[in-house]
Amino acid sequence: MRREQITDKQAICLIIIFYIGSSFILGVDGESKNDAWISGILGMFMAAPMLFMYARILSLFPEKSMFDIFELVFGKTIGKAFILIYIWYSFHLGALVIRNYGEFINTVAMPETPIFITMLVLTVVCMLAVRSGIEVIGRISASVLPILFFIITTVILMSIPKMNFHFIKPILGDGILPVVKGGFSAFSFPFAESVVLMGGFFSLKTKKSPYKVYLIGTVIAGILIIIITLRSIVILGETFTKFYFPTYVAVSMISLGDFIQRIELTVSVVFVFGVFIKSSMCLLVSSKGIAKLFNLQDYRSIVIQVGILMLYFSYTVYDSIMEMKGWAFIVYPYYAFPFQVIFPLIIFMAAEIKVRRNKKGDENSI
Amino acid sequence: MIILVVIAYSLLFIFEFFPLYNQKQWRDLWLTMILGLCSFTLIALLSFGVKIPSPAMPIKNVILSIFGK
Amino acid sequence: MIRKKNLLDHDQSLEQENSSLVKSLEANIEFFQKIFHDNETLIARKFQNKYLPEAKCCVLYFDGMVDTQKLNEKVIQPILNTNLNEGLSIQHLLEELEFKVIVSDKIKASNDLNEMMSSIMTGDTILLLQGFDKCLLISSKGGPTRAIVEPDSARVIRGPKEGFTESIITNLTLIRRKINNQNLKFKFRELGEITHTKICICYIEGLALEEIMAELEKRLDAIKIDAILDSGYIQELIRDAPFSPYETVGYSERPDAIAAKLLEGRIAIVVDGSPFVLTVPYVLAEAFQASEDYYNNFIFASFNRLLRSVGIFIATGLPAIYLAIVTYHQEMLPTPLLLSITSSRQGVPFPTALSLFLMLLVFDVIREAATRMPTPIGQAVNIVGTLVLGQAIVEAKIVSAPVIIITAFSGIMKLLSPTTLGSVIVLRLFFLIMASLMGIYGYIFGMIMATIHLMNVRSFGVPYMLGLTSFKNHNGQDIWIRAPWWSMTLRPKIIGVRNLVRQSTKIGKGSKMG
Repeated sequence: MRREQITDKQAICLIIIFYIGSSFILGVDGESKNDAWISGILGMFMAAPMLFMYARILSLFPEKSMFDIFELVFGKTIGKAFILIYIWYSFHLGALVIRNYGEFINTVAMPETPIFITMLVLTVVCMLAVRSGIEVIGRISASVLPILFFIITTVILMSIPKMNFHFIKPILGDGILPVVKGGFSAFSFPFAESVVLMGGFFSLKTKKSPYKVYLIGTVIAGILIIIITLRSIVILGETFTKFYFPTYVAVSMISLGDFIQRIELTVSVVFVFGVFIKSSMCLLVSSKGIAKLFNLQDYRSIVIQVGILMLYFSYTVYDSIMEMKGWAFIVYPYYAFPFQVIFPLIIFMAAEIKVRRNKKGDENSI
Repeated sequence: MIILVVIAYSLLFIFEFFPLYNQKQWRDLWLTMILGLCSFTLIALLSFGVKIPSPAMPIKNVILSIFGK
Repeated sequence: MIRKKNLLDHDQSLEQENSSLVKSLEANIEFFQKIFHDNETLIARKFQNKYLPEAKCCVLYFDGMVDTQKLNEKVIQPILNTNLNEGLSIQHLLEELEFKVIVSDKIKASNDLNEMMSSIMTGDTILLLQGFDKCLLISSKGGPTRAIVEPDSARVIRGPKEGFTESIITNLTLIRRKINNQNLKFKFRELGEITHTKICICYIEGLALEEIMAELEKRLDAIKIDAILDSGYIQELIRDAPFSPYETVGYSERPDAIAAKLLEGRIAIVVDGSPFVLTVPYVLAEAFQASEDYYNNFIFASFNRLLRSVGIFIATGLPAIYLAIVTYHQEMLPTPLLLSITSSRQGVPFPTALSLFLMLLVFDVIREAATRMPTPIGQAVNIVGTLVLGQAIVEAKIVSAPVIIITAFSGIMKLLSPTTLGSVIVLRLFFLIMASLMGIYGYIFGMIMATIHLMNVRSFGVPYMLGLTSFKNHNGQDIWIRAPWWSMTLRPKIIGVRNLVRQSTKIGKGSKMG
């Protein structure tokens, strides 16, 4: 079978859309109020070492996905345990993302349509994309990102008249603690979520690619997220944490003349694309993981079933939108911590030892 | 509701399982069948109005008890 | 199926029973008349030489297939009037006739029945001679053909005005005249087990990719069909993605367009009896290209091309977006516009989705009716369409006026690039259904699904979306815009990879200065 390959540019676009997918609409954290932008910066810097670690693991084993690396490093049994852990994480993350999207559509756009139908449509599209493979997802991201950039910049430019910069003050009014907590929240959602992408970036071109992709992608997406958070703050002020979807509300305040008003639909366009890419990647990674677990030749035959299960799971996972928001900001950072930090750290160390030992072995044999 | 579900799954059966059967990929076929059975059970329960417990709440409780919030 | 089998059996038995000619002229004529019994277009004209009465001849041909004037003057007259007694050996009379008497550009002695059959049926003449078990096959193809006129399917204001005809030889000549190069190759083959249609694969050696050539030949070899009546048959038999509404094999009626595609490394397939020449591989971007783009000023051409591509988006998306905004996202509209739309929708009984669907259907009904009708009746159909359906339906408050506007807009836009018509109709319906389910989000998901589909399609191994998503390199120069000729120094990658350089940079710079 032909090896699937995506270019660095496509991978960077993919990771940017992956980051801004749901954080664009949910906001990065719920604790630090008008200092949320500082939490964003903090989160980005906290995530940087982790991202370097992910990139390092990937570049130690070029052309291998996360799941292949587990088996190579830990052997069959423990490797399978790790595979299972990450199948669960990506599966759960995908379900959460789908649910976010469902709640969003249900709340702001179409209260009459059952949430199950809206989520079903997204899942079907994701299944199609995943069956087509990572190449198609990469190419779609690369062709969609310029449009998204255009939309985001235009909306920001149009919102300038509504901005009140005194909303930023007081900087660090509540002290440093909420900001740090917020930073931790921003670290786990969205930045460190890119641990999932380790399962998808088996198809990068060169050994250096993972660093480049993770670094450039994170910086661009981070700047974008910080600017958007800042924009929401200067438009809405301190109250912005009280909304479920602050960006959406902020944009709905825009009105230029009589003609350009209520353009919040543009925001949901960006959101829908982001969610599509993010849940596709989650679905891809969990299907690939399951295929690896059972030694299937190709993951494509199980994509539909995994996608359906993901849909049902996301349908049953929360009762209401309040529960969702609470979970996303209070429980999720702690829940995701092992997947994002502890396990990668273990893998990283084990992989380094393994590679060193192999190298030594090679030198001895020579 | 349950009728719709059955129709959808029979369509799925035709478009998913038969190609696999023809290609003689038994492993894939078995796995797909098992996953399909799981999902069918779930959706059948949901369509009969059974409430399926979500893992979100237990996880929340565990984490809150650890970090004591 | 049964019919086909019988015919084939008949063919075979014919070959087995009478494998060759005999020496008697009468018997031979009878033999041919037996093969073509009940076929009274077969003419057998017997005659003999003035000076040598033993030289009895007979020409056999199909009435209407041959150029009779040429036959009379160059074949019958020389044989009648030449003194065959002088300096010709009677034993080798057939060869003597072939070499010294008959005036013809192409002539061949043969006793192979298959060869005789195929040549008489394509308009050649068989000359039988008393005492020989061979015959002469004399080229005399003629009969009515259509003149070279400007094609209706692709008119231009600027550019060559000739179009292909139904005759394969004329078509090849038209291509050959555009490209005077010894590397232009023509490979013939026959397809269709009953019709024995001639087709010709035409390519430029050194430019066309061998992999694509091999793949094309493989697919052509696999065709086992009884008849090929138009290139459309072959188009559907060799295409990739057979269920896709998008064309994956290109076609054109214009020799200049085909020549341009050959020069980009594509392969053309000319089919006898069809003025439409196929090209492979075909990518989506070609649907937006017209030959006139390359002859006009590049700014004007780019503008036209942008219109065409935007037109496709509007044609497919406008009904869906209107439906989504009116039913789900009314707050998007500025208040005055919303008021006027609402007031025009007052008293209309059908939901917007249904009326849009019906009106789109009506538009296509009118289009289809007007295409098939003779021009005077077509005009009547147009009047009925515009006046009765357009004006009256709004006044009777059966459909709201905006729906008519949207339908008309979408209907005209889709005619901007005629080759995509089929896919636009399918896509528009699909988007409409998605939008009626989920509003603008449904439309977006529909777009994503269509994009995924397009990205999966390949035409002879070449990605169908080639160039559509890149703006940087020379692949993107000729897609959304038409870059000026002095900047297009390279052929499109992947298809023209064997010889990328289209013009040396030096010449390009020079013309830029000039």
